[in-house]
Amino acid sequence: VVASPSDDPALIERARRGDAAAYEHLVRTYQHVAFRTACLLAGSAADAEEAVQDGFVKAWQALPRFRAGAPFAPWLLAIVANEARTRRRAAGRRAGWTLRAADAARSEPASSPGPEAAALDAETRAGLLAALAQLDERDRTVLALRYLLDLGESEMAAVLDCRPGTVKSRLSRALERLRVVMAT
Amino acid sequence: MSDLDRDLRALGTAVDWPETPDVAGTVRTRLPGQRVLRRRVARPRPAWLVILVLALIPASAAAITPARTAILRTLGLSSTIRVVELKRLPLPAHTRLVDQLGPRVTLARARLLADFRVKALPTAPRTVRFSDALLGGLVTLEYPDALIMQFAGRSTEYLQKLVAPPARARRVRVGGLPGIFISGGPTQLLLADRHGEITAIGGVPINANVLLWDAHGIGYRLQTHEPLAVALQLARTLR
Repeated sequence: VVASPSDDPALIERARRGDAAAYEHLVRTYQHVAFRTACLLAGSAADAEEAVQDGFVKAWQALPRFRAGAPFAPWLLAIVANEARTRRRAAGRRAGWTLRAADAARSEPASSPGPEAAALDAETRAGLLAALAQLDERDRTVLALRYLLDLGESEMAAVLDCRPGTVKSRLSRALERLRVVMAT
Repeated sequence: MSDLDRDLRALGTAVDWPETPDVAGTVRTRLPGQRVLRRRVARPRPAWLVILVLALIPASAAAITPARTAILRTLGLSSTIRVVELKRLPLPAHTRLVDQLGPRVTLARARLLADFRVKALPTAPRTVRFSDALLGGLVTLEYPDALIMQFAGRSTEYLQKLVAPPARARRVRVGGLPGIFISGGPTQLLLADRHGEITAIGGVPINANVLLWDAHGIGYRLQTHEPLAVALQLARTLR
């Protein structure tokens, strides 16, 4: 059974009282977005997995400080992002996650390209990936969080450790630079 | 929405992300105050999900029950190998691991049966075993100075190694590929499924060093009494 975000307040309250089963529901709900976010920031799937595990454990320990009624995802993602950055610094990596297009032949049903992706021809996809690769990491990350992970502003702000208003301007500038790269 | 917006959103469903690991069980065991090892989680996984688990334990830990285990950290190594550091190992020996390594076969037969290219040292192995406990097969080669296990890595399988003091794990590079070297304490092999349920444990802890690495989806475990430099040299001579 996987919880839905609408279950969060009740699950969080139970978890704050020490209910590990409730917290496990939360972990299962958010581990997917947490892992992908960590992948972007840590630069390796192995480090991302460690970051997600440690992030969830730290979030459990910090639950007494979680503001009741606040959305869980931004708060959690901020913790996971911090763990991912720490690992990346420790590993001395410079580049972030390398984006690659999925090989259609080995795509699983759950992650198979949807109608939008199908409409995105291989040439456009390759061009976009190449253009993203030319951006600096700061721009690439903000675009990936918005478009590839479909995060909202508050979640992006938490991951990027900035104000929501700053997310808008950073996203706008990154898009502009991407357009320039694609035009050249 | 601009064309660029639309294309970027479409790209989001076409990116090759690694499979998200299910960390819920592991996280739960690590929560302070929790004493549950790992409860079985119902997941739509094929029945062949059996995982090779390799453990390093202090000999005195053999009688410790699973419920007393506390995970300190997990070191991931690609999608096929994982090292779990514990305060102490919880594993009572109850099944002969050798039975899980499969029957003795010839190297040629193992190469025929395995779903991957089986590598070997230049010298002939003393014994070869093949097991179908893992999808694609598990091949074990025994040499006078090393024991080498190899299997086809799948995102749903893990070579998992449990480590407890005095043994220690450190990240290394094996021919440019990520690896983990574990030394400083006795080792014990065991088999478990993805959910941590132990199906077989080697009866006697083995005092040896272990080098783990993943080469393009094939998981390798090299056990030897030799130091890291020699283990790396052996790994490099695998053909």
